Amino acid sequence: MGDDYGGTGGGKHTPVIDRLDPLFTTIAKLLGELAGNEAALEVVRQEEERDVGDGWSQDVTTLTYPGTYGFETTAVYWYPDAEHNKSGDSPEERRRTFEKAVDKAWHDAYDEWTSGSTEPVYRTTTQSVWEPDPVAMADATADLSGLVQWLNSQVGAAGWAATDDDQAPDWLVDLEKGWPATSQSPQSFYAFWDDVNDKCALYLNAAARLTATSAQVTATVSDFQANTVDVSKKTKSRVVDALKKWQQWKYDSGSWPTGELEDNDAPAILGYVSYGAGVVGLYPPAAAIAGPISVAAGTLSYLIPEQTKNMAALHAATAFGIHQGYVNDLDDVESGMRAVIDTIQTEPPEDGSTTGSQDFTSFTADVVGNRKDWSPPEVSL
Amino acid sequence: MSEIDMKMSAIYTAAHDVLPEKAQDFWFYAEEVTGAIEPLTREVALAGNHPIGADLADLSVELFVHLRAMERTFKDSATGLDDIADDFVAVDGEAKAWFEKHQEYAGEPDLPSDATAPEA
Repeated sequence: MGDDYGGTGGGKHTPVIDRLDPLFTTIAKLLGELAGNEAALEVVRQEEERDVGDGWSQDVTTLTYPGTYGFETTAVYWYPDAEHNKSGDSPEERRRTFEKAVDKAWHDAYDEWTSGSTEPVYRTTTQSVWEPDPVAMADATADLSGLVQWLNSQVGAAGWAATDDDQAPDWLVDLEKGWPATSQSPQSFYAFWDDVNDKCALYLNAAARLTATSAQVTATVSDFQANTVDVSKKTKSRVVDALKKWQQWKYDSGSWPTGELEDNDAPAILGYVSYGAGVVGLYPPAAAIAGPISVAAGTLSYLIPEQTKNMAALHAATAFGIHQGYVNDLDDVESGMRAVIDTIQTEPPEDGSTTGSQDFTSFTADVVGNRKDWSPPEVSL
Repeated sequence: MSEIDMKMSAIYTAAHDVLPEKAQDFWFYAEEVTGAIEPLTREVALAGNHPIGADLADLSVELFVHLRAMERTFKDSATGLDDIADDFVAVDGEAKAWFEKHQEYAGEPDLPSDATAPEA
């Protein structure tokens, strides 16, 4: 994570999908190789276990499994003895037929996974995670942060005072002395001016809450994008590991590569960490008032300290098992992101700030409901 | 400084300098809210169209409305004071004499346009 995600500090901004798409393609291709190995092995087993009756003999041939992680291994095939050979195939022809069947099974399975139908599943599952641009959100948050700081500078220190107050600016005092007699209501102007401080204090609360919430959502989106990349990288490594075990298997090491009987119960990978509390605690409204909030998109890995602890894809070793586990993991990333944003919306930050005891929806409803009280008083000159 | 000097100077300073500057400040930050909320809600909509986007939009609109109301009040006050002072200049000889020496206050105060409302 980090630089590749860009951020408000400049530098290259690479959309996360540009990192995910090659991973999706690679995973599909590697799963295709794995499925090819499994399909080829099935043909080998069928040949080995074929009930041929009397008059058949076995021989051994060397098979080449193709692919990036291809390998050579041996397999047995049957051929009829001369006196039982009704087809007229020679042992050599039987061997070639067997090898072609194995090769065809491998490529059929490979094509099924790599014909372009696998990646869209991964893309669609994670669309709501990779599609938003946290850099654009971080820039917007920085602008809102500027508003918070400006409002904060206005409260109590900008001469928003009545004409008889020591804080009143000279020009305002002079204006009162020289106000034209033709004016309808100079008092309305002084009342407005004197009220600006109070209004800025109200707006400061709202702006701080808005900015903090914006930062929290931005950080969440950014984190879950990073999480998606991480999950994908680990899944890719898992497929590579499985393919390497196939390569080792050719040496009769005893390690069985497929793990095909292993259950895949797809535990939730994000089920053990309270992200909401983390991200709310990181960007509370009080922090927005205390200083400019900068959300460096994609740099918050500590929010998800054990993000891959229980990845479903890592519990499987067959092509379908890893694929299904990976899809489950991606589903969990998507629902996990939504759950965190739910928390941001519904949990009060309780940070001691003026708005800290209200959830975001209630606070917003209050502000909307009190529009009249929040409006500046009218001036009639 | 004579009384008329002080009076005219106070009114035109407020109308042409102080209040336009305040209007400009509030205009700028109202524009900032509009500029921020549009990308923010757009991206949140892409993030599964989470309902928090509606809250963010609602709160932003409220802030914008109030900041723009501030801006408008400062602008209206500046224009009102300028009109009152101009009327005074038209009927008072001393005021007219002062104004002729202070042509920097001729014309309308330089005020920002209305801040752009967010579409959110």
